[in-house]
Parts: sequence; C-alpha cells; structure tokens
Amino acid sequence: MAEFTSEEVIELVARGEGLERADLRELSLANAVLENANLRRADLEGANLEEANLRKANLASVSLRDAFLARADLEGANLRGADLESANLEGANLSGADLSRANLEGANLEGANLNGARLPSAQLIDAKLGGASLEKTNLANADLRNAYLGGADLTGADLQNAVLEDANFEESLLNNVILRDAVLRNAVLSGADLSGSKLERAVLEGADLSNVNLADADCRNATFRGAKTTGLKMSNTLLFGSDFNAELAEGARVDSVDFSSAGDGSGRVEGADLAGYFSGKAAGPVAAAPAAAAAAPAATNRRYFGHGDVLRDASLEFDADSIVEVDGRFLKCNITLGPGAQLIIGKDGLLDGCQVNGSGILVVHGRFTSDAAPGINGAKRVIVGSTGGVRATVKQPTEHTHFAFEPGCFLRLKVETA
Amino acid sequence: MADTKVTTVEEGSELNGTLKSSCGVVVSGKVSGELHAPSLSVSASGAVHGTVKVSQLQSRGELSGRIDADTIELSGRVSDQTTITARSLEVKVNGDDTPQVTFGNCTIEVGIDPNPPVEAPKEAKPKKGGGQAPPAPDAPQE
Repeated sequence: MAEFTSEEVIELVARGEGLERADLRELSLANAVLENANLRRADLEGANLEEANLRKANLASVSLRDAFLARADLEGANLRGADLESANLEGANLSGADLSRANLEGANLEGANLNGARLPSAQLIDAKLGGASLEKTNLANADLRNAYLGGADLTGADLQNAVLEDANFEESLLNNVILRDAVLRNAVLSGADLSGSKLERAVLEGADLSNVNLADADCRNATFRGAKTTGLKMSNTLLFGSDFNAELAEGARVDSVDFSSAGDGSGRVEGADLAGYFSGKAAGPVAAAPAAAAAAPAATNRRYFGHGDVLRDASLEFDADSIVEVDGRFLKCNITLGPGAQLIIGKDGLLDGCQVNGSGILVVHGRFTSDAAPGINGAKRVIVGSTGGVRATVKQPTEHTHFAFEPGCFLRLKVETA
Repeated sequence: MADTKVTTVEEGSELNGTLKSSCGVVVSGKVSGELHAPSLSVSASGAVHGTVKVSQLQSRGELSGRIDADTIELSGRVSDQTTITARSLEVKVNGDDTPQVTFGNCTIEVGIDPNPPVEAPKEAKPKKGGGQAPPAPDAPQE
C-alpha cells in the first residue's frame, strides 16, 4: 500500500518537497506534472505514469519495475542505477536522460526517443527498442543481448564494448556508430546501414550481415567467422587484421577494401582483384600473383606458418606492418618485429624458447613459453586470447606495453619496466 | 529495489591496517595493509597497497603488493613489486594509444597451466655398493 495518494504526491512535488525513498507502489500518476521532482530511491513499482511529465526529475536508484510509462516525458531525467525491468516506456521521451547502469531488462522502449541519452553499462537484455531513436546515445559497455532494435536510428551512437549477442538490428541505421570491441556474435543486422562505423576488434561471428552497408567502415581486427554476407556492401572498408576471407567475400558486393594497418589506402584492393588477393594470401607471399601483390601491398607483408611447420634455432626479421601468423612451432628462434608488425600465434601455434624483440604486436591464441630474460622485449602490444598461454619475462619499452588479456587465458608473466 | 550493502572508503579517506568485510568494498580513497572481502572495486582515484584477498576484483585505480582474487578486471596502474594471482584476469584492449593498464615491475600468475614445463629427470646416483635400491618402507611387497 502506497504511503501517499496521487494528489498528495502531485501537491508535494508542486511545493518542491522531496519524496526520497517514498513508497509509491501501484500509484496512478497518469498525466501528472512531476517535473524536477526528487524521487530518488522511491519505490514506484507497478505505478502508472502514462504521459506524466518527469522532465529533469531525480529518479536515481528508483524502482520502476513493471511501471507503465508510455509516452511519459523523461527528458534530462536522472535515472542512474534505476530498476526499470519490464517497464513499459513505449513512445517515452528519454532524450538527454542519464540511465547509467540502469536495469532495463525486458523493458518496452518501442518508438522511444533516447537521443543523447546516457546508458553506459545499462542492462537491456531482451529489451524492445524497435523504431526507437538513439542518435548519439551512449551505450558503451551496455548489455543488449537478445534485444530488438529493428528499424531503430542509432546514428552516431557509442556502443563500444557493448554485448550485442543475438540482438536484432534489422533495417536499423547505424551510421558512424562506435562498435569497437563490441560482441555482435549471432546478431541480426540484415539491411542495416553501418557506413562509417568503427568496428575495430568487433566480434561478428555468425552474425547475419546480409545486405548490410559497411561502406567506409573500420573493421580492422574484427572477426567475421561464420557470418552471413549475402549482399554485404563494402566500399573503402578497412579490413587489416580481420579474418574476412574469400569464402565470406563470395556473395558480398565489394567495391574496394583496404588491408593496410594504418587504414590510409595503401593496402587498397578493388573488388575485382579481391579473389586474387585472397588466393595470394592463402598461398603465402612467395606464391602471390604479381598483379595482386601490386594492387595490394599488404599482401606482400603477410607470412603464414601452417600446422606441421617447425622452425628451430632460426633468426627471423619481419618488416614494419607485416602480419605473421603461426599455426606451427617455432623452437628457440630469435624474432624481430618491425614497428606495427603483428605476430599472431594461432590456437595450435607454439613458440617455445623463443625471444621476440622490437616494437611489434604479439597476439597469442596458442602458447608462448620462454626462459629468456626477456622473452618478449619492447613489444608495443601483447594480447593474449582466451585460449592463449604465455610464460615469459616481458620487458616493456619506455612508453609501456599495452597489455590485453581475455578471461580464460593462462599467464606466468614477469613484467619489467624499461 | 533492494540496496546492496558495500563498505566504502571515500576519496580523501585513508585507511591503514586490516579491513575485513563480509560485503563488497569500494575504494575511492587509499587503503594500506590487508584487505579481505568478497569483492573489491577500486575506482580511478583509489589506491590499495598491501595484501588483498577477494573473490572479485575490479580496479581502475592503483594496486600494489600481493593481490589474490578469483576474477580480476583490470585497468589503471599496477605498481612495482606487485604479485597478481588470479584464476581469471581480464584487461581490455584500448582503442587509443594509451595502455589500459600501466604495469610496473611485477609478477602475474593467472589460470592453471595446461602444459606445465616438464623437468628433466634427475639421473640416479649409482650406489656405492651397486645393486638395487631397497623398496620404500610403505611400498607393497610382492
């Protein structure tokens, strides 16, 4: 039973009095004017706030579970840490609202206006956002698993590090969206416009990318394995370090892509030359067709050491920006990486007793073990995937090594500064 | 919504000694000494120096000493002479040119080695009198 009547609430708010921690459950406040109200930590579970005016209200940590907020005006409201699980916010105005770390699991936000709203680390699992407007909305680190965003406008939104597995973005506008490190595994993006978006290191495994527009998108180091790519449009798309391959390119509409690490066009490959590029890459740089190599300078900088390849006591030097993939075994080798060169140890790859020098990037999905001091010397980045293991001493350069570790990796590291 | 109880060491506060808590601990100030709790969150302004034993650790601040946790999410700074032991460690990739974590001279031990290094078998010293070594006292007699 609520401790106030609807009339009392409206009157108290009109007088500027706070209702912090008030019990307002199941209260009917449809069309109520509650602008600037202080309802911090109040319990509004199941309340009816249809078309209520809650502009700039303080609703931090409030409980609005199962509340009815259809077409409510929440512009600029503070909803940090609010619990809106299963709330109905259809057509609500949440522009400029702060929903940081709010729980919106299963909430209905269809047609809602979330332009410029802040939702970092918000929980939006199973939320319905079809047709919603999310221009320049901050959704960094948000959890949108299985959410529906069909036809939504996310132009310029920030979805960095967001979890978007199984989410549905069909026919949505995702131009200039930041999706760095976002997980889009098995997401449906069919017909979506992702032109100009930043997808560096994004996980697009198993995603439906049919008829998606990736023109001018930055997909460097993204993973596409198992994605559906029929009608996928690529034009000036950056693909350095990604696993986009000939199989995925089949059925895609590729005007041009760029494989250079800097994304400066120096690794540009026209759509017509893409098959040649991939066949050259697959066969290794020595076998690359001269024409394809000329069209794609990045191809000449790729090396691949497959299963069964064993290199022992070798001294290897790889140029700046080269990419070296190892699925075989390197034993007691001395490897020098030029600036920006990537040494990628695949899941089955092993570097044992080796020393890696230079300001390159070491990516470990397999295993790197070394008793040398240091085993890794001066690396710009050391990235260990969930299947990777590193046992080594790492000597950092003056400006420090950038480390990234995925949960599940194995590490026995001694880290030293310059 | 039920409030989750946390012990907070606010910015500007400093705690020296042992802190044992049955609820989560949030450190925005400075803690020096021992800290035992189910979870620890160190904010960007926070610093924890000493011995830490927690189940979950999330740090954006400064850590030093002996850090022991089941799972760690790390950014911020790790000072010299620090040992981090965990079952799982996550450090995210940073998009720009600044490292997510700045590591000093430290040791990191994470996960169980699926392929521990095999030590070379020590050669058995020949007994002066030759012959076979006697069976261990508790070895079954044939």
